[in-house]
Amino acid sequence: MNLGLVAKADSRVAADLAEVFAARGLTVARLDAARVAATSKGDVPAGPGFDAVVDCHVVDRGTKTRGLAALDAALGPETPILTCCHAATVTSLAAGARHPERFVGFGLLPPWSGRTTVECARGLATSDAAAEAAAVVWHAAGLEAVWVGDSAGLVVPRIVACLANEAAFALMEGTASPEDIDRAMELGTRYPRGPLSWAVEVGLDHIVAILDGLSREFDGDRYRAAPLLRGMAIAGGGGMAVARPWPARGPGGP
Amino acid sequence: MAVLGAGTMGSGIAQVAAAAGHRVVLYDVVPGALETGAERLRTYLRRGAEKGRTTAAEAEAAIGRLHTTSMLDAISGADLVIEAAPEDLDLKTHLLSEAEALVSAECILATNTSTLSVSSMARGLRRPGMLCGLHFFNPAPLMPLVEVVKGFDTSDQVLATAVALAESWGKTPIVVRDTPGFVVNRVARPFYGEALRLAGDGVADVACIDRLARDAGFPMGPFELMDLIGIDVNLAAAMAVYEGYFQEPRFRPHPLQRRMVASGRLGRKTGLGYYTYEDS
Repeated sequence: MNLGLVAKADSRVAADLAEVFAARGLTVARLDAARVAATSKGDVPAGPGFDAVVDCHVVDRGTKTRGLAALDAALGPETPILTCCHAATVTSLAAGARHPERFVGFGLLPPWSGRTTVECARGLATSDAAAEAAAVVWHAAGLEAVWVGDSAGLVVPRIVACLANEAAFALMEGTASPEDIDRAMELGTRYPRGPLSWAVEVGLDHIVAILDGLSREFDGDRYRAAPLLRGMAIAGGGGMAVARPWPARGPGGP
Repeated sequence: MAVLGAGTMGSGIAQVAAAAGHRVVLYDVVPGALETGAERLRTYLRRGAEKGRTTAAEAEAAIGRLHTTSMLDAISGADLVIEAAPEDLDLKTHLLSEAEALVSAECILATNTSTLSVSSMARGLRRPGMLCGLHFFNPAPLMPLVEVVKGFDTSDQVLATAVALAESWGKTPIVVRDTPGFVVNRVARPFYGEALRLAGDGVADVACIDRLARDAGFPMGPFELMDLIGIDVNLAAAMAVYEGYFQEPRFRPHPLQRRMVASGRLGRKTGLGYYTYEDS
């Protein structure tokens, strides 16, 4: 199976997926998200066509939609585009495309290690053929496609982004130190990792993008990103390069 | 030390303290509650010995350090009083005030509250600096985390002493500010709240959400966890944080959860929750 993988160079989703695909012997061509978005034909290389293109880009909505438009123009209509819908619904990502029926959403929040499933979603226009083709791709990668409704963030990415956001609000309020917040959630509720360090691992800009996607979908205040989280995402980019990302706030004073 | 309230949490905290070598006075006034709590403690300690966690002699020694009473003045010699009464602010405030009048000025007062403000409980005290929160998790003997809560008036020395004490009991204490839900009950809200919204909006069903959560590394999915904790207990925590933050939209509980509780579907303890439990 011959796959194209569209992502920013530092995308954790793409890094995990490239590892998944390589482990299963799938041929993967990495396409830079910015270059795909900048060309009218999506920077698709010449040669044998892709069996599917996996678009991992999440953070920059403009780059993502331009990139999907370019891919839609370049690829034959039978080639499915599997697009990460952490920050937008599949329906909205496919809107305006010449072939919206080929778009199939997926959600896979890092870290991937040990996963056996990938969340998948059909947009309102997604065809049966495209959905089946997507399931075949994921099966080849050793992952079972679990179908859920079309919603930004799907299930796990949404829940984890909201946990990270709540931890950021708690930190902002001086409720506890960042280390203690993470330790509390690992020991008190046995989460696999603390929400603040999980957010850094995923990328703070990625977490904010999920929350912004939910805010667009639902309007209102429920999904607004904690100012501290948004500020750190803006200041540090992905957050992963920052040695000690979370400020040491503690419960001092009223 | 003294533990006020012989319910699940009170007897669990008494068990921790007795096993750690403290003489513990366990107090309750509800008929039968005292003996039920004491018997629960004795049973768990002996069961622990059977499983090899302690020797039989250690278990019996811990049991021997427990004294039960329905007379509050029996706590007068305590260096530490932990109240674990029902989650009622007036009840807890009154109880702590009564306890303070019976103990020395050096005695630390602690509340195991999970939803109420530690600072507000200090209002009735002559020595508010001696009050802190010591929030254990259920079951207290097994769960390692303790939230040590600093109220407005809590002295740094009391805080440090409480932290050291929790560590001596083999617990992992974290110091938290007095805010609704402290850390765990507040930060955990989206695990349940978003899951309920996803199910309620028809994005995925209960079993699917639980499966995806487990595949992502959570030991239990949100719905099976609510069934285990008690859907009513979980809803009470959700309401406390929601009201505590003046109806902040992030914390808004979900009508599905309220309907479950109203219909008597509380989870494992009623045999019916988000799942059905035939062996309950």
